[in-house]
Amino acid sequence: MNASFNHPVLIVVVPLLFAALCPIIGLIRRSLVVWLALFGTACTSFLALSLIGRVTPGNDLSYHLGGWEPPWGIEIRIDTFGLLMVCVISTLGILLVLYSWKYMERELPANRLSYYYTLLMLIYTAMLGFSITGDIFNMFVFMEIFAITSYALVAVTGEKRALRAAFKYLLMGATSSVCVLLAITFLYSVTGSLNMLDISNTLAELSPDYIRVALAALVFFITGFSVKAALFPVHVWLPEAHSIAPSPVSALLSALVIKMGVFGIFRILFTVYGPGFANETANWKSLNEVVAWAAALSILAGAAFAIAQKDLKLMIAYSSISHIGYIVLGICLLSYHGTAGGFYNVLAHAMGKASFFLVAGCFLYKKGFRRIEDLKGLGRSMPISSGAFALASLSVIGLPPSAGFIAKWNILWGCLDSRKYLFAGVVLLGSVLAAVYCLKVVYYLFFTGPRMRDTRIEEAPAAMYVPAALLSLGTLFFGIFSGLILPSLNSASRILMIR
Amino acid sequence: MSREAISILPILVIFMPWVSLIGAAVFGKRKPAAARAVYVGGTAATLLLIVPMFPRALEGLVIRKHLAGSGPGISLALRVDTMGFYFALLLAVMWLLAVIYSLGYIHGRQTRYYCFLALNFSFCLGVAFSANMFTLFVFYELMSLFTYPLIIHDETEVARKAGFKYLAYSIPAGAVLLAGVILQFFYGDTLAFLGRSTIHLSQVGKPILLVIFSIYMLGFGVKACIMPLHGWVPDAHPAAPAPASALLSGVILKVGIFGIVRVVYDVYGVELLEALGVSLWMLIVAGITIITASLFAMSQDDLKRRLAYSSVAQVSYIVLGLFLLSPAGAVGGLLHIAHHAFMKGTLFLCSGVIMHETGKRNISEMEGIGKKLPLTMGAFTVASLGMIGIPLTAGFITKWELGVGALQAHRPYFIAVLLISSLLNAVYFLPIVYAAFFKGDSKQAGFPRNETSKKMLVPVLAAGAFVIILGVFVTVPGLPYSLVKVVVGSVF
Amino acid sequence: MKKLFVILALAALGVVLLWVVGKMPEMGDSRTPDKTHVVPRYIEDGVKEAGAENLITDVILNYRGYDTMGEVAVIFSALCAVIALLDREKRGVSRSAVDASQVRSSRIVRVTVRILFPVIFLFAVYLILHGENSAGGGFQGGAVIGASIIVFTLVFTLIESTRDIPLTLRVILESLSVLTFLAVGFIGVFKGVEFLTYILPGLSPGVAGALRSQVFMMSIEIAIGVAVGAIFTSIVFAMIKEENFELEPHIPEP
Repeated sequence: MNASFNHPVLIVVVPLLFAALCPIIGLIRRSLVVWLALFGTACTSFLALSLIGRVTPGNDLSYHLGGWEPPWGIEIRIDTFGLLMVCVISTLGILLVLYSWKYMERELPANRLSYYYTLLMLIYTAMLGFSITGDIFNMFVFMEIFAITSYALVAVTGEKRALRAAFKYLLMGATSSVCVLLAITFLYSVTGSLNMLDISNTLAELSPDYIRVALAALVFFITGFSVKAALFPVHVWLPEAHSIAPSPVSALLSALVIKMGVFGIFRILFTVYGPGFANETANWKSLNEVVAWAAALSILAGAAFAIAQKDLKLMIAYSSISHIGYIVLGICLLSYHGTAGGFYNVLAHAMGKASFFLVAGCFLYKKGFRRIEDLKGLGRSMPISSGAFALASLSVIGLPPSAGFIAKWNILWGCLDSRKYLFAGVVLLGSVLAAVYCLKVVYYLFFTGPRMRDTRIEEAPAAMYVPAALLSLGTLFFGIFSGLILPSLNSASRILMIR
Repeated sequence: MSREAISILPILVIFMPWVSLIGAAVFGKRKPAAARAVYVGGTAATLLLIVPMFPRALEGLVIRKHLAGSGPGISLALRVDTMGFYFALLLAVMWLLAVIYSLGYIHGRQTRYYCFLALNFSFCLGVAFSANMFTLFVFYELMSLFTYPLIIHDETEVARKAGFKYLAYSIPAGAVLLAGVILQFFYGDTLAFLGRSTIHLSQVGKPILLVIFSIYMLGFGVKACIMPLHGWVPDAHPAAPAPASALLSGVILKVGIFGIVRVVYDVYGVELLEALGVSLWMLIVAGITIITASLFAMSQDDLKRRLAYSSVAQVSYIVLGLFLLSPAGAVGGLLHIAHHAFMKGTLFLCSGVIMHETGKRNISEMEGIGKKLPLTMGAFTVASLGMIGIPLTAGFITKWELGVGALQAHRPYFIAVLLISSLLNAVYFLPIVYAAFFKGDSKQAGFPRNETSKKMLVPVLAAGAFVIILGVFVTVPGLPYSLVKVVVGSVF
Repeated sequence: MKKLFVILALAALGVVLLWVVGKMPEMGDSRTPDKTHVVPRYIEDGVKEAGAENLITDVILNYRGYDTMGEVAVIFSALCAVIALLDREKRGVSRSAVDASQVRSSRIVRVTVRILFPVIFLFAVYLILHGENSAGGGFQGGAVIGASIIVFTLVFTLIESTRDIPLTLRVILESLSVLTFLAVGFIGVFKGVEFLTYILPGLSPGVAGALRSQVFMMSIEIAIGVAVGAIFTSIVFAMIKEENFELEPHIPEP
């Protein structure tokens, strides 16, 4: 048993440790909390990144908590997809904490700051735990943590509007949690197990009496996670919650939290049920088709609503609905290229959308502007933030050579692979619509307003624009060097489809 | 064809223009003189880096370099073949002329202008050196997007509208093109350009081949302004500053053409296109574009708008030549890429001089302007004659080759299109020349003989001289004809 | 429109539930998967393997201790959320409507509570500590602690309660309970086995199974009890302030 044997669980436990330390340190010395949180996320990120290479496609890392072998105990099971999620969450975590340092100082009274960071560390714990667990009830527990913390984070400023948005979010979120819990009980009643792989094996030769229950469970799972992911008909909570929350929280919610819903859908559809589900492949496929349609509608509706928005953060929030659509569509195409593309978009969208929200936060912080029309000429007075926005918009639109393009390419490939030409058209139309709403902002930033020589440079603090700029550069980096991640995603997805 | 070499040179060439970009960022406002030196130096250095590849290009040797990517489909790779070299050389020469000219012409927002000029240069070179359709698409889209700041450089209401129209055409075209690339990837062998057909009738079937072909034509057709897709050209060209219009018309439209060339020779191949029977349709579309655009051109009073419509017509010559699918037709079409670039470049640069020196853009106000700007208008005259196709100019060579090509392809009636077009060219260019030199009062106030600054005059005269050189010393190695011969020789 | 949507959604839910209910495994049937797959081992080997006589405690604190750690984190998040959102306690002390001068419970109530409070509290402690062997445990005991403090608050006003159990103390207790859980988990890590494996520092795995587990489970039970008590108390305190609760003296009918 070497030293790195416990890494999988440390990824979850270390941020929890720092979450528990935050309030205590906050009582001793408030200014230390942000550094503590920064250190905590950095440690987590290091642990997560150190797993790269230990997890290869088809060769999952399994860890039995308390030494109890599954299905009796809880298993942590890290596959390529979970690894990707963990790396994205923990690395983005550092940047968001860094950004919060200056931004939240202004938004929150000093005595609440340490609780803000506690909540932040808790939500990281939850998302990390959610991504790597191999147990559906454990998944539910972590889902509850990130749900509760995200309601709180939306409302953290205590403004009336924020409270209302958070309440709406809470109502829908709680309903979705109930759906998931119901589904888990259904599934447990017919399989007697909570471990994903064990359930999957049981489901493969499920007695015909129970197939109906299992299918109902599947429907409830999908419904529940769709709300968390904000797919089209159940997206109504998202725009308000994401636009009213403080910018780092918006970035967190858009870049990571809604991805958890998607990841849940993915886990249930592929890891738990899978193509071999009790010879009910036809049902499973048609459910996939339904979800894919919802995703396609999300792409178009989200983009169309985004175009209509006058408020920058609201526009970005609607754009998130559109992008969640891409990810889910990619996953539900039942082609391994689509799955790989969907997960590549998890990465691309996390970076691009986080950068968007962080830049919007810079504008709010420095100028107090929310409306897109007010952004005239900010490209000249806030060149780095605006440049980060422009660069990230390449990825959000899906223009080459950004990471968003690579994702879109693979999703399109998946569409062709499974002969769903209509969805290919939707993907292309979606990127044209995305170009409309993104370039509108870029246009206001750079091509209107006073001349260069008439403006003074008034950037936001470096702790705010640096994370945004890094994320934007990241979209470019992972667009050009897609070979770092995409091949392993591809082979992992292929294994998934064969199983 | 099979001989290949690996070299770092293409990467250097593509990134050389970034020197200008960095120069602009570093010196931009503080040291204008240094910045200008860097702009010109960066562009000239790029040209100097391209030239050493000439011997290999003439032999048909291919230089390859893989940049990045993740397996089939997604692969950024560079490859210099004769066609790419030819196009890159043209780009570099045109860019050098335009940058020198810009030094005298551009007065506001210089940093932004030169940055985007350099970026576009780099991306156009990327298109020229692409080793596969994926790379070509990447650079093409970047170029497409980064042309926008050049078009709305003046930030006037007209320019904004033109810019909007440009994006409204370009972005859907980009999406359509992406569909084409992914379909080709899905149904073809490979996205790589191998100088032969990489998609097969027997494997794919005719309908899908036709769909992919039409998608490609729609996608590239917007840049190549084939007739129903030309809408942005007459607005964008006049709105952009003159050197940018010269580049737009001279080479950026040709990037679309370059894409079509790749589709014709490296994706489908001549035999497959013949088997598909699409060439006649393309010829008809090109023919209609040539005649209709010329008619539109006649009715314009704004000089740059007239030139823009003329570009729409002229670019379709190239399409015509390509889809004649005969050796001489191909030579004519490919030659016209360069020949038209110099002719239309000259004309746009001249129009810029006129606007810069007299503030006039309408043809009706240009009577007697030749007396004030004799050298400029001299170059204008030469280029006009080239457009018409008078012997000893570049235009004549292409028209001749196109005519021969039409006969080779057994479609002689397209010679009639060429003749009508020449006639229309004469109708809308010669009156300008006539009015400039022979109308109006030479002692009219406001028109003293006063040529423009050297920075602008030299590129104008150089471009004008090229029109003659290309028409007279046709077969000198290094000039387009020698390169085009190699390209066509490898295909037919 | 909204109502229609809600009705449709509920109808769909009802249809799915009706569709499935007939096929659900029979209640009380001992051959259904939920009783034959995982459970037998818990029942047969639970006491021996996991150490507690109460099988439920074995499952929630040992076999699935990680879930319980998650639940403690849920409680911790809830506390942080409540404090971050509803923290008016400091301001509220002076302006509270629940003031000793205005609200005064009757003497009977006060005396009763004064007598009952220690008893309730003691019962809570019993529940927590005896959770391993009989019904009860940290969650239940914590809830009783919370209830006792709530009763105390309702009778003796918030000012007194917050003086005795200030926010800071509750936060520290809550953090400490999470830390306790983690510390117990980390002992396994430092011994070179999995997280949350219960091994006493001096003993090797497998030795004196019941003893080693009991010590750890006891500490975790206590941590959970404290955490649950703290969260109950905090939510009620925060809510009282937030709503500007007007407490009228309750006079029982003669």
